[in-house]
Amino acid sequence: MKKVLLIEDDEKLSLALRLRLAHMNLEVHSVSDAIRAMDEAVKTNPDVVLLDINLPGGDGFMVAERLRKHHATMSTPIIFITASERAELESKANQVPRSFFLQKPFDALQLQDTMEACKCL
Amino acid sequence: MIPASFATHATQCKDEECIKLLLVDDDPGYLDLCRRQLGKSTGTTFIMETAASVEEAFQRCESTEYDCLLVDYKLPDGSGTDIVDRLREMYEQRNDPSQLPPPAIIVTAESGQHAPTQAIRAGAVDFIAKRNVTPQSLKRVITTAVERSHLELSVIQRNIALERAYSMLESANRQLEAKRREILHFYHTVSHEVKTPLAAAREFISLLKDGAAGEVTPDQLILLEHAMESCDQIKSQFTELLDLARIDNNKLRLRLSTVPVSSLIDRSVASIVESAREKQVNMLVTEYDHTIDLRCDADRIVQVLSNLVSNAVKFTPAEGTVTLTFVVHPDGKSVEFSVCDTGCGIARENMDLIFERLYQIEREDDTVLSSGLGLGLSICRELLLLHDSQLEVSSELGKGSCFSFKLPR
Repeated sequence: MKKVLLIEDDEKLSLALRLRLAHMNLEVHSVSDAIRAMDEAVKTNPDVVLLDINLPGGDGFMVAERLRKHHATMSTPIIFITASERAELESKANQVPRSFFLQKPFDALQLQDTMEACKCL
Repeated sequence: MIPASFATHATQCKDEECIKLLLVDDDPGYLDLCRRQLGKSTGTTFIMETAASVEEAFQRCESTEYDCLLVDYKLPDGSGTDIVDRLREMYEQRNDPSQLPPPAIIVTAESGQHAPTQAIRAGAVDFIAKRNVTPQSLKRVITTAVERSHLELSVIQRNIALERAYSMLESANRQLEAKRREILHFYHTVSHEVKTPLAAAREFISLLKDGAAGEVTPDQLILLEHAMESCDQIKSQFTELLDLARIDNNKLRLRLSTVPVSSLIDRSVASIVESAREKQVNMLVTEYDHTIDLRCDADRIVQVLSNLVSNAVKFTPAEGTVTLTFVVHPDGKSVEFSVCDTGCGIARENMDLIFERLYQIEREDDTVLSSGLGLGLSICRELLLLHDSQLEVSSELGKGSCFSFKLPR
């Protein structure tokens, strides 16, 4: 079973996504802030990271930068998720290697397509 | 003709022109001659005061405002141009650009001297040779100088008023821009705060629909689909608000690419087909050349077309028809999209209103026909303007409406 690390601070959305990811037959690990994100990533060694951009304790880009620096998560696909419509976020996300971008709210189908693109499904 | 408003010494002159004059000469006989000559003048009243030296003249000018100075070139304590110089300095020190020193006319002994040139160079407005002085010439040279000075002053004052108005406009504009940026920031924040819980709500509904929490009956499924549509409506309304705020801030940038026109049309119609079928409105796309590619922001053109088609379906009764037409202009340089319906049409008086933000066409029973904020057409128009295109509308009440726009090929 493939593993997903979900980093999302909104409790309800985190719950909904955990259910959705479990429904896709994935093993889900989740944290709600940037600080614990790194420890959890190293500990669980996920196949994909679903990463909210607006996070307490530092933004998603900071987390992504750390993930890329660590040998264990250097090439783990990252799916950025954000509710912000600021165009600069998407272009900034595009600069992170092996990353994808999803605008909230997104469809289960969009999530599934992105997961497939990451070869996680 | 000197404007009445400039006759500042109104106590002594009521209706006719009035000029307050300072005569500067050390020869009492000549001062008397001037006084007599100007005193005979009709149509203009000259109020005359005299001074016999540069110093005295300057002191008088400090306490009194004259309309004009008539100054002898040769004075016991200097030359006439010294007065001109000192007056200019005095006014410069006042640092009030709306004021000018009174015009000074230099009176020279001989017309052939170098004095006239020097006088003009020093800033005197004119000169007159003593031997040429007649009542007419004196009056003419003085009134001309005064008129010119008044004109100059009024130009300066107008310029000052313009500069002031300009800087007020500039500052108002800066405030407006700051306000707009604030609004955009506010919408971004609100939109962000709303979309996260919206994403959660949508996902929960979607999980239920997919049977993640047990089997769903067909009736439950319908309700869940309604809930989903409502979520999407909230989302698109926030997107519209953000679009408008971006447009107001010149922050909306087109992402140009070359796309097949068929993909634009297919995408625009796909989202509306279902609601047209539900309303029993026929949705037609007329035959067109599928090989044509267009350079545009595909998402934005789809947004415009979807909006037009969905409006058309909304305002067309059952059995009516909505037709999307795409044609290439005979010159081959441009193409035209049009969306026509057989709906209720738009009354002539409402034709301009439909592009206004938040405008909704109301039925006679006052119920608003469409859902949404009524921002759609206003956004469509702006999106087309960014493409250097115009949204055209023609309509006949009770027969239907046609919206069309051109794009370069």
